[in-house]
Amino acid sequence: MNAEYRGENTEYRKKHTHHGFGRVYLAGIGASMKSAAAYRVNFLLMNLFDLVWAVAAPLVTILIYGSGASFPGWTFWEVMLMQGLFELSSALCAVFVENIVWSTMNHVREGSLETVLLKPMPPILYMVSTSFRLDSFGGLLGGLVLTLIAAGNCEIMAISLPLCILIFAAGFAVNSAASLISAAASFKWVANSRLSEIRMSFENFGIYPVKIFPSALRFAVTFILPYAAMGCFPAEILLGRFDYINILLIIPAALFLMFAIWFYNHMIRLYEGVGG
Amino acid sequence: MGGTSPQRGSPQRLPHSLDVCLAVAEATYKEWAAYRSHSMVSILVGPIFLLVQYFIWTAVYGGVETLGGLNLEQMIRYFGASSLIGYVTMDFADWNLQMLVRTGKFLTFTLRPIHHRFFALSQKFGHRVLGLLVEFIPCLIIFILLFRIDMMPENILITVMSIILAFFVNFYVNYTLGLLGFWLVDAGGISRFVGILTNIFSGTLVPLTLFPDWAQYILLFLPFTYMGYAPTIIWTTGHFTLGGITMNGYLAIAFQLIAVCFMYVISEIFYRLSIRRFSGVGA
Repeated sequence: MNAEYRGENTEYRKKHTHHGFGRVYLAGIGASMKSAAAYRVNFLLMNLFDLVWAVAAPLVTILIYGSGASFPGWTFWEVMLMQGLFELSSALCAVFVENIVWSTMNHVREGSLETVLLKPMPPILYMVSTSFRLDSFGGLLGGLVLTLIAAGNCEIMAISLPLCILIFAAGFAVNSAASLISAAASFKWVANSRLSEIRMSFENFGIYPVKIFPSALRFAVTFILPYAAMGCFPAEILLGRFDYINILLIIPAALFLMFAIWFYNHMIRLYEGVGG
Repeated sequence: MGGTSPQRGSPQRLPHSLDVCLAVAEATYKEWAAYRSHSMVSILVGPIFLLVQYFIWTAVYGGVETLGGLNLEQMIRYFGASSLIGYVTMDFADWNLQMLVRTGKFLTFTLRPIHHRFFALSQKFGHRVLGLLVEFIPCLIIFILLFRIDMMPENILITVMSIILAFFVNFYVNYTLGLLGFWLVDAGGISRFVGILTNIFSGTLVPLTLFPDWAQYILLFLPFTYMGYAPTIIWTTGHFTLGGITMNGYLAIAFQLIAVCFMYVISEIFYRLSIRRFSGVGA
């Protein structure tokens, strides 16, 4: 193996990283499909259950509205739209990014990260590209169905769709960043299977109307950790009740993602292994 | 079987079982105490969960006095109690048993003079004592001092008894689920599905009294109700209400006891059917 191939030549890495990322990502999808084909029943069940869960997730809202109560200022279908968008964002993260938490954790626990570190591409790109989860597609489908049904029952401002996509992307970035930070934490907090619980507990701030929270907390979930961009704000945009000052949240969302990438690359230095 | 093991019918059998249980529980406690920081994640996650619930329900109660028979104060206490009870009844016997079967390590249990279910139950005792110390107590203190919630149970004795029975129902349900590992290569999907059902129907997400009446009648006869909802509602109100039926704590406990016995019998029948399917080579 020559030095250039091993990635010691930084220029070589820079030149080939993006090309390599695309190819490795496709290979990751291929491996995920083959794995799904090998364990077909489990694959179908996992997708089915994710689908059921995505549809059942707004159960609290259904029961609240069924009891005659409501979130002030929100109709039933408006809340469903918000929660459908949230489920969509959450499922996108589960399909494309979230598995990095488990794969990093397993590599650290088993001491096998060397097999990743030796590859001629940045470890974080390799880990993301091989984290594709085909068996989380059920949640994606469930979130999409819920969003479409809810949108059909609300007065949507179609002209706001580009802004909605932008804010939705910011929400996806926040959730992805939180996954990367959870994964990075596993370099120090070895084999803690509950790291994801911490991330998911913060997600709760994105699934309900942000106005139910006091102003300090509202500010925090808008401009510090903009979880409100996962469900609440995209829905507000589509419903034409968005406060446009909140567009600024894309700045902390981008910064949070950049910090998460830096943090992962920093924490990877703490890894200790003896050859995999 | 080892020569020192008391035989069936021996007067020493119960104390010996107790010794085994305590030894396994102590070993499990020590094993998991090394990872106590994992359990302590609850000290962060629990209060965040309660904080969100507090704001959700405060907003929702804006226009109504009671929901599902609970006023706002009771509703917040319900979710606090639900979290706390979850820490002492939490169970992963299903995952553990499925792992043992999948890896073949279950073979070592077929050679031991102890029923695996008893071993797993003893493990759970040790594991949840740790949960009591590093999850339940710290979170209870946070709920009382930080959130200013009155977490005092309406009837302490009945509540404690109900939690203990919920501990057993949780275990037997999960253990029975774990036995699927003998039948399926990967039972993770089914476990996840039942996990979802448990979350929904044990009252973790929302009190079961908010469900439609017909659903409440059905839930009255499902074990999920007695895994979480029963002790939580008893903690919150001192009595058990579901499907329009209100019963005092003692009667509710009798129902829970029936659920424990029922799940024990089911797990035993399923164990006997499942064990025949096991094959291992050396482990």
